[in-house]
Amino acid sequence: MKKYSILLLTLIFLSCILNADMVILKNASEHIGQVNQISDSKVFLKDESGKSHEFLRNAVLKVIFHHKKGDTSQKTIDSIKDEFIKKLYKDSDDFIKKYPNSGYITLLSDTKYVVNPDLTWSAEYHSIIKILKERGKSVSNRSIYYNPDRETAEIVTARSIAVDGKVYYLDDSSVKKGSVYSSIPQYDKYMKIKFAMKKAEIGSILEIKTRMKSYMPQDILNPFEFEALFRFREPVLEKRVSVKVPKGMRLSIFKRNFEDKVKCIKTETDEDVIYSFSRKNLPETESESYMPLRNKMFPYLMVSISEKWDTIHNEFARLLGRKNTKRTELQKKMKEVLKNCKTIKEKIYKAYEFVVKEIRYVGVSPLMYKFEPKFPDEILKNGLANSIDKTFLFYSILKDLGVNVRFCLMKSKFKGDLVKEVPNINQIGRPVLLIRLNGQKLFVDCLYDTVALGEIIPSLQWTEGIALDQSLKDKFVKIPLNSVNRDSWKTKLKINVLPDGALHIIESNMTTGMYADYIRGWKDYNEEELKKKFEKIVSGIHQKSELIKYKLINYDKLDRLNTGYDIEYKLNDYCIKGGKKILVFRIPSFSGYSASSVGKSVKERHFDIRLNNVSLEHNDIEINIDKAFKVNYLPKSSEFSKSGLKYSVKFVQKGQKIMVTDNYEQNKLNYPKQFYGYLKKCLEQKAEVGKMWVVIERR
Amino acid sequence: MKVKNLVLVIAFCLFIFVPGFGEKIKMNDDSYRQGKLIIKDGKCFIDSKMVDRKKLSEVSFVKRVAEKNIDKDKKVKSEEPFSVKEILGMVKQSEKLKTSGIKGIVILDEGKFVWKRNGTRTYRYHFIGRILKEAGRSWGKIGWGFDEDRKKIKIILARSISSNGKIVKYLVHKDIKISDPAGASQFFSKYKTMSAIIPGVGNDSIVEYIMESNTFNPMDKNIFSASYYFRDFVPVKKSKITVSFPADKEMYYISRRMGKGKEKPLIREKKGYKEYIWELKDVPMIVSEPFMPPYNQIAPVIKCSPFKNWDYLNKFSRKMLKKNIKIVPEIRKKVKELTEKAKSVEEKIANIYYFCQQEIRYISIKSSFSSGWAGHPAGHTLKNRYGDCIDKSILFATMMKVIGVEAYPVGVVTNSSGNMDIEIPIFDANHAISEVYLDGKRFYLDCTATTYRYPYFRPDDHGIWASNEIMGKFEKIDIPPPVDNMYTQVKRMQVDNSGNTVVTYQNEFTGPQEAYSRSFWQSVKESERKRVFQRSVNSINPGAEVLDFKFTKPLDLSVPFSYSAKYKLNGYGKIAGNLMIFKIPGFSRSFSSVSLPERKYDLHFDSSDCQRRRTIIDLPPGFKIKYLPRKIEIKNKYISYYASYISFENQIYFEDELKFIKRIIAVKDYKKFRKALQAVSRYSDEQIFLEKKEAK
Repeated sequence: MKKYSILLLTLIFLSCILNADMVILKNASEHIGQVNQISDSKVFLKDESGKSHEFLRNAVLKVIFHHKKGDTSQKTIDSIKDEFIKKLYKDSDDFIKKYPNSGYITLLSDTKYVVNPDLTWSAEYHSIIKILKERGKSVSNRSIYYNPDRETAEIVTARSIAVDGKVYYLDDSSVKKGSVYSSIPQYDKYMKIKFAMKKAEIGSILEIKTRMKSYMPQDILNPFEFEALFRFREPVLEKRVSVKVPKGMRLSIFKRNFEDKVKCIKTETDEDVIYSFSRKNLPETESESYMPLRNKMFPYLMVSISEKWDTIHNEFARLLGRKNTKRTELQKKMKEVLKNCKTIKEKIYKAYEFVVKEIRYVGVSPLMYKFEPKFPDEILKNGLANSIDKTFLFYSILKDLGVNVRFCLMKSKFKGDLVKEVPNINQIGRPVLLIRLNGQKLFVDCLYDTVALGEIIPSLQWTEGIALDQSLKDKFVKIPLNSVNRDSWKTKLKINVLPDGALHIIESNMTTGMYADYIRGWKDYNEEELKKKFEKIVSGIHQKSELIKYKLINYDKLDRLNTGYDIEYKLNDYCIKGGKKILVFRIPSFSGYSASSVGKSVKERHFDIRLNNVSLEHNDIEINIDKAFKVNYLPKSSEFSKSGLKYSVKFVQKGQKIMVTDNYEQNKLNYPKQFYGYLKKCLEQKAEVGKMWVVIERR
Repeated sequence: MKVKNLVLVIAFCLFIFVPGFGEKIKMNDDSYRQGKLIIKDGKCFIDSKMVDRKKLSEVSFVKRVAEKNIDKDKKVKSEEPFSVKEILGMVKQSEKLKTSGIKGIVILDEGKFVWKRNGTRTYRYHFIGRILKEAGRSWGKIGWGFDEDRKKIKIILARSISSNGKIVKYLVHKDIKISDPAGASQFFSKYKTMSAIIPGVGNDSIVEYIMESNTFNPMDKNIFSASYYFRDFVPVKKSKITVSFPADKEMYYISRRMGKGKEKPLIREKKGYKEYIWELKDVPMIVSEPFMPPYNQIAPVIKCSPFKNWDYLNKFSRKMLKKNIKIVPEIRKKVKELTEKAKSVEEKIANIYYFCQQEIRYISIKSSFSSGWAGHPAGHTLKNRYGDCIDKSILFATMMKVIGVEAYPVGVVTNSSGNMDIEIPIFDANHAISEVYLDGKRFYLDCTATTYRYPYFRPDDHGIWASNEIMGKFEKIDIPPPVDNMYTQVKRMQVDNSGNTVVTYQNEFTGPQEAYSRSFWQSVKESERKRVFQRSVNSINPGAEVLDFKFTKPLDLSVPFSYSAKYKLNGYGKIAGNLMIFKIPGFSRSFSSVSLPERKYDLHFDSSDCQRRRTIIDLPPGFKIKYLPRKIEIKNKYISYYASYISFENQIYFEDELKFIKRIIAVKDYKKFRKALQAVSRYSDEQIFLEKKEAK
């Protein structure tokens, strides 16, 4: 009996110090245990085996107290008091069995938002997750993000219930609160609390509850707003979202694809209204190529406190007006930069070049910093800026030049369509400028030093937003989709097939849009690196290659939409022998054509199709066959065209010359899933051309 | 008893001579308090005021000197060693180093280490750089990480100068920020960073800054080291390092790649200290090459230490490591559970190896040098089921102890990060693995992975030094033979008269290639594996169909991993007139390692490697062989390759084997090596030509 009592006491003691403090001595040694006393002269610690240690106070560097997260009295699954959670553990087996391939399953995801009468708000996130596979363990490393200027965040409970039913609590040893952008002091605001759950094994159940509270009332520039999806990559047994607001406070609620899948309930009390949304048995999602955004395909909810776009517009416009002061240094600088410019066009270009090249872009979204721009002189002094500040700096310069310019806030294509029904600034965090010059309208994105003036990158094309600073009637703007010629790669090749089977190639490439941005990116190479880059390009075409010469065209000029390169090289031993007389070769430019993205069969396609961009790829090839050979076989010409998707290839022989033209165009972005068969056919037809042989025969 | 008395006397003295402790107490809400913390009978007091223990986050007992009040708007320029005119002169002198397209020139790159007699030390760094294009502006961003209980960081000067010298802009104190970086999700450390952006830095500016770190609280007064690298990816006008030692202390050093006559320092004595100075001028830039050696194996370097041998350092870390290698009942129980069904010691080791790889999740928690270098107690890692490389190797060594196998955690510098200099005693390791002794044989395992079958281990540990601090010795880890990092494919192709081809194949692996393959397939949902095959075969031939596939379990390390598949390639054999042309699907070899015609540096691979393929092709009945590629055989000290096609009745038998024998290819042999690989690549482009049989 006594023996068992000792064992029991030891176990109780050990479980007490599971929450281990740490004493670090000045000599760098570390001791883990329970710090039970700190006197004037000593620090006392009991280690995990129950042994006591004493350290002289002046030998100690620091003591770290590790507190557990949650009600630690519940040490086994049976001692968990919440009946709902217990039921969940026991009743979820049938659901889990349906998903033998999932890395993990979320048994419960419950988010509760509360907006207070003073317009502050809080959110509590509660999730219960079961790990099913090795790859699902990643779910046990978690993070919460917040803006400490307005919000607090905390971990309320974080525990793992191991396979044997024991409960392990997170403690501070694996919690870190830190700054996300610590290396950019000018934008260092956003914070992260990251934590690593203990005992996250296959079969473990993780329960995590975190809380965020705003201590500043929401306003137009910092709105209370949330989005919720009701289907994910991994399955969810139950997902709930609710928002409680004081009676009389109006919410804008947008629902998409809800049908009868998501249950919506409105409950009223004397003081509050609660809107609840829930869905059970959310299936897993299989990944596919060219998938639309999830918020387009699955049940999606967006909620914010009712506001009007006009008010957001006016408030932000006023803010810009207020901030467009303190710019004497900028004006001085511009005087110097623009001193030799004669026309307004020249001035706009020079100013653009200055902003994109001299002010380094830092990717801190306004949602992670703030929508309010810094003063122009401050941005200039910093020499770096986020999207809002960099765009605002250019805006300020253009205003001073008397240009008709509007500051626009757009919703990036990565975030989905603009939901006009829920006006809030968080939707439209991507700034661009809209310039009117000589009756022409030009959208200008001034973040990147590889983008030409007036060029719009694919993620901004066909996006909507609001334009400030003019009549409210035109406040909504849409950036048009490029014509394919504005996102194109055109190549002219002259290929000489030499008597020894080598190919001598003179190639000229001219690009626009995103392809031109890619080539302009090579500006960072020095001379030697650039040579190596071209050597790698030709070696990638054929391992036995020889670079003869190369030249970049327009790559450092941002006033022209096109850029490119000329290259001359030799592919030694390129043709394949097929006996004494026969030689075959494939067109080198077609070697990269692949149909891997459309491997899936038509009947297996689940989702609609979303292409990222419009584009044009065009090759004009002249092949001169040495007189020692005659052409024996040429691949057949072919053509495909359906709803803006086009591919054609043409082979024509004229004596010793073969003329090849191929052309691929994507003119549209979105297609229904029924179109997949055509997309597959088109890309396979193109890839097939890359596999075809030209056969020549020695005379 | 005597010791106890001595402690009391010291404590008493401290009580008398230190007028109160100004401890820095961090609360859970991130606020700080200054005061004296007492914990007694479960109650906590700060300066006699009771506080809730739950609100305490940490208390630092380090004595701090009160910071001087600095005017936050004041310019950061407590020293200005050079005038703007002098700097412009230095820039002018560096013009000859300018080559087209470089981002800038480092005008001055000067460091100074001072190891003081009381064991504290300082490091000062002075940088002047001339920016020549946008990419060079990163020089305007400065920052250092530090442990605030041991080190102080100070920016002494930070300014930008316009290229004509007319505009000089200084950093101001309010723009210097000290923060806790959040870091990546798996890493938890107590380090802080000081960072600042120098104002006015443009695309043709000159940047100058001086920073200083002062280690006021070293963990061991006797341990000191200094390392300095002298080359950059831009030209360097002047690079200089001074190491200052108390004159009565011996200083040991190594210098590598410094150039003739520059290996030895200039030594001068000054106020009881000896200064050792190395300096290089007009240092050419490094131009990146694919598969080049790590930076620290190509840059000139000096490393200094006060120790002639490793005894002191080994003793220091041995104590920490041994404390953590401690068997507790939970470890014993776990080992029993893992090994009770094992039939041999090797099987026991393997089971424990798999457990440490897969069941101890990679999480790195560094509270100080001790956990950074010597990890946490083994029982702690087992209980949490997480740890980093050193934690895993400590747990592994402890579990080995339970089964009576001798194993040690050992420090390494992975071959992708450089080379451990065992000639100079300084702490230098970026990874920890396990050294095991069994039946008189020594071998290595690396628990920081999830997919390595016993006895294989990560290739970045191959061919490097392992530092066993417990045993006090270094051992070189061998590079395993190529067959221990092998991919084998056996394939059968059935081609019909239209060129349609049905392919069945089986892939098997050993070593790292097996681990990579397991790792990839375990990351793909079982229900999505077909899609991966579909992508792959459709890239071989458009319109391909996957007919079947099978896997062994990727995470079951007790059996070798393999998978097989069957697919149909419609129209794979290309009909060109009366010819049918095709090759073995998926048989293309291209080597990015030899893309450059010439190199300056050796080629570095992780390890040796072997790829072996066997294929039987059933020919279509309406065709006969017109041409088969000829046999090829290449052999040199770096690679061996052979391949052959043999026809027999209506079948073709193909086999090939490519072996990379060595990890490092000397630059002098590069052209020969390249030529050999070009031949291998070219051979993989060869096609089989069939010709229509004439109608009878």
